[in-house]
Amino acid sequence: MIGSRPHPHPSDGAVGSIGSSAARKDAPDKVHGRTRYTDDHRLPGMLHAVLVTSPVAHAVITEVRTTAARALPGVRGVLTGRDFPLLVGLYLGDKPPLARDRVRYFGEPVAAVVADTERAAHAAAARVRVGYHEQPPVRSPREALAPGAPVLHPELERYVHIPAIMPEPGTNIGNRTKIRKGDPEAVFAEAASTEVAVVVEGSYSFPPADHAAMEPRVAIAEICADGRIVIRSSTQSPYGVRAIMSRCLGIPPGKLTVAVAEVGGGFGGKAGVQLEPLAYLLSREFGGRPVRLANTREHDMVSSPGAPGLQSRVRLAAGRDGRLLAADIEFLFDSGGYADYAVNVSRAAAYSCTGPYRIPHVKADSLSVYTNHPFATAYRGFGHIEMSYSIERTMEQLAERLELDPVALRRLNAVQPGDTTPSQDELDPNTGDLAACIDHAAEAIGWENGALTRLDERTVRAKGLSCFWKAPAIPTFTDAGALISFNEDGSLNLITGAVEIGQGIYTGLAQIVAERLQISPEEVHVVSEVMTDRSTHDWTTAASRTLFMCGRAALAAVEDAVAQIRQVAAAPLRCAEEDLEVAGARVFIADDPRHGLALAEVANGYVYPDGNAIGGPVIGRGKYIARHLSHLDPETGAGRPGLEWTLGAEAVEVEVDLRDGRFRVLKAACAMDVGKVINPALARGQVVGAMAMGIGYTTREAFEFDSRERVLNGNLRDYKLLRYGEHPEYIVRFVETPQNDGPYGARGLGEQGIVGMPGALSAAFSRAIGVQLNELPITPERLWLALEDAGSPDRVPHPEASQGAGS
Amino acid sequence: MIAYELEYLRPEMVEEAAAAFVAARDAGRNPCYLGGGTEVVTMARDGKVHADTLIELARLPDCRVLDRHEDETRFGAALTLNEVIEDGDCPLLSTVARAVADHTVRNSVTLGGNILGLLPYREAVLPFLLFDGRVEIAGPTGRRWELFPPLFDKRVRLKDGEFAIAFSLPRAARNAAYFYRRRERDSRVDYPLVALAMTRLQRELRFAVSGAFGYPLRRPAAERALTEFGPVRARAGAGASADTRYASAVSAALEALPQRYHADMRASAQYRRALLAHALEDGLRELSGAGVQDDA
Repeated sequence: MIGSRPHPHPSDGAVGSIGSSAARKDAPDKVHGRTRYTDDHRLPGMLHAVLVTSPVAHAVITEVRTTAARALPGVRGVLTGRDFPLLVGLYLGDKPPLARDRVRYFGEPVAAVVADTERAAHAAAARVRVGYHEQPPVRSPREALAPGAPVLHPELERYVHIPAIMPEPGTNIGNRTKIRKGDPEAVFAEAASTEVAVVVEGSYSFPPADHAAMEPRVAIAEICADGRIVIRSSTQSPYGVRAIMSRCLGIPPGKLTVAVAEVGGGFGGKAGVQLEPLAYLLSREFGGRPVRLANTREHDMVSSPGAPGLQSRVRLAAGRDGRLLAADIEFLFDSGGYADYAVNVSRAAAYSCTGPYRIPHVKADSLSVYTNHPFATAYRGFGHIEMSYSIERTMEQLAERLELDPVALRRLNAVQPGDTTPSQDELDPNTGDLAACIDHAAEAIGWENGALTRLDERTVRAKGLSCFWKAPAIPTFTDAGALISFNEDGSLNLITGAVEIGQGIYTGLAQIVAERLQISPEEVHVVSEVMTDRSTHDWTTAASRTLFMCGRAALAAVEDAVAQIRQVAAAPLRCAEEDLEVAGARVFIADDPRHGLALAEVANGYVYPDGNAIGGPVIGRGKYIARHLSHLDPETGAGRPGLEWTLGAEAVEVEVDLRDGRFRVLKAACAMDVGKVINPALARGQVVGAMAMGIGYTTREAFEFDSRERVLNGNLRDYKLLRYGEHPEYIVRFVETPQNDGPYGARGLGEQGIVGMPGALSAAFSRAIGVQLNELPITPERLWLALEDAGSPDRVPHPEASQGAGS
Repeated sequence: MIAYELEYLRPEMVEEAAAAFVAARDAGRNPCYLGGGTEVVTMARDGKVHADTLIELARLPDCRVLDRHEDETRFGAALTLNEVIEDGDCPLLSTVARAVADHTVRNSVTLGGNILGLLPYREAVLPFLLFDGRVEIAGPTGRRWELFPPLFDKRVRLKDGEFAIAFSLPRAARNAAYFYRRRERDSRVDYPLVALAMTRLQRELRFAVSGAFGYPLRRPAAERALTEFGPVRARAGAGASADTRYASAVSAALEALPQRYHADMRASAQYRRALLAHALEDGLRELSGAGVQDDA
């Protein structure tokens, strides 16, 4: 396993690192309100930009009148789409910095006002007059694919894109990923003609949503007199921003520094390129003066990207015994007006399309489709949450059809090492134990005590369980770097390119390094800002891969530093380098620890009593790059897209009032195989946070549109998140099947807790009211309507006392 | 952020406030009285309020009274909802106020702001409608007291430049049996789909509703229907048919109410109607139950 302990353990070393709930390094500043986020930077001479956004979803821009806005005192200028005739995009260059000639979603920026003060900029923005000639909006992916639908990007053919993305010019398809495994058509044909197999099919949908991170996005750009560009941004991807801006704007990357303070929540919403190119272009208009482009909450929700909506269809064939035989799947992702990350989200849903179930024959088409909705980017779960919801809904229907216990059905089909994924990649021995997770989740929720209980004539309690899996959707060359230097007291500094987005990465990395060196995490000082010109290259803080990859890089840096320390110490300790070990802030002879030196005496050079010195500052260098990843075959989807699969199961219990549909989520349990728990409190925090987000995602967090596809609830007055007091009891259990290539056996766990929640909750609510619910969000009114549609409440199954798990 | 220039006035007396309004209006400005500011600040930021002169009422001594007299209790319009709740003189008013927003927001929202603001819910008015409360009004022509139900039609019908100084509830509000039911879309900290306040004064049932119709409403004909059909009038021994009587009482009351329910992104009209029917039934049941003196 990577990062095993040095031997022998020095008795005075090791103060609980791996497996201990070390205090968060970022916590003291946060709880004292002293963390400096990006928008806490106020630069001399800084100008303020405010966006003018579209009040309609789809229109041709007929005119933009800026005279009145320019006339206000303090206003430096008003820029429109015509001022910046270029396209920017993450994978697919489809988006102008400001809408040009045409708007494709409600909230799309059409102009930017730059002024001396934020107030002047807001006042002027209200005076910009834009003429719109409204067009019929494309309201859903299915509408977008219908013959005769308006083509929202007629220029699609000319857009620059990476090879892994396959747009279909002349249509609204931004990307299509195909999975062709085995011969599903033959299986379905056979199933239709025999009694030994059954086929179930379902269609599912939900609207786009928002991340609602606590910190709205902000970028501050300036161009120095010598041409260097500095962008301060609330981004999860400093190196991604640098690379994309370099590519789309022709900036030599060495001239561009992206600086990231701590980020107040990302959830994927800050993983791509956001406000940075426009902030830069605006700075360029005003002689390079710093320009601050800060989203209001409303702009952050609607103008900047959110989570994709979905329309999906799943058909499953299974034997009478419940064994899955074949799957036929269609995912239509609602990417909104622009592609952004959605074209990769749809790809991730394709390679994971079956959920963690063994299905030999699979056909799937996963599409990212343009509509006139706010555009979509990465969102916690990244395609897997949408996939899981669709599959788990269908699994419930299959259990109902076969009259099998839904938990037993899942356990029967749970993947194991040796099985192949939809992309025909064999699951290696590092694969976690899904069956154990199912058992834990079922036990934690009390599945054996009955899945449906009637409390009184109006009230029922119901349980639901789902499984999940997730592998990071990352480039094949995803990398991480780390640097270690030492202070005079022998403590060390760790530099990586990882961004602290509230997940506790500084703490986790410090624990990994501390464990290897058998010192306290307090002695590992993690440098707390990322600057692309002095931090180490890192793909992006996303995909739940940061602890894994930066952890590996940090361990490599420790090994490099240890080798250098041994080399220096070998002379004064008069022994061979290989006899030396470094642990507990000392370097010592491994088989006779009495002979040794404090790290403080060696790490920045050893000085002999006569003044002679050797060595010099030790600089540990570490790196990691993803192993064995490959592209997906365009026709079959075959390939190895994911570094590691995190497996788990989630179960919930809900209480529903059958009279009006009101409900409470009473309990939510998650059992996840994380390989190794580095920090139990942080790990639980990530999982509980993800489950809470999953409850919001399933029951209330969704955009509401009017008939012209304008967002009605693009503000926190109307868009409700879970509050304290509305949470269930959370139960989190970890299974530890080591990920042997992960640091100390750990694998990713940041997003995964959200993935199974829509499936588990939908199962529980469906069971409660006796109607399969195939749309989100599940609100009390939706339950009430389903009950009304099903007829009188008498048609709801009324178990006498409680129904057994098998019913 | 409110992006435009504002004039902020802090008068020291009621008459000064009213005069300031007239003066601002005469100067061609767009004045607005300010209570706790929760509505004005958020709506001005959103471009939905364009007042350029804010006249603060929150510190006017007459608007801050909390006087308990033998026959009535007076609540200054500038008391915050939390101050009203903590006073507890009228349990129904406290209950209604406690359901508005969250604790932090209720530290700012004033009683007058809730009843006279722009949002249509105005739940704090429900007890004043139920118990025939009064409101003291100040304006360019002086002060006067008015009785609530006639003055209230969807909202308090104030003339331009008028504002509320205080509200008064009669003694009956202190110990009358009451029922309050509030239902939201999902989060409790949200506007009501239905808020039903019901009370029973001797044999008479009264109720007032917010949320369901998009404006607060008390309609005597519906109350009579509820009282007439309801089990309050039912003789002892009618227990077996109580459910039927509740249902017909509720139907009769609903028939006497407007048929046009509010619909918006939070809920459909049918759902609001169903929630109101449930609330009426539960209120009826509760106020007909044990602990209430019946004449059976």
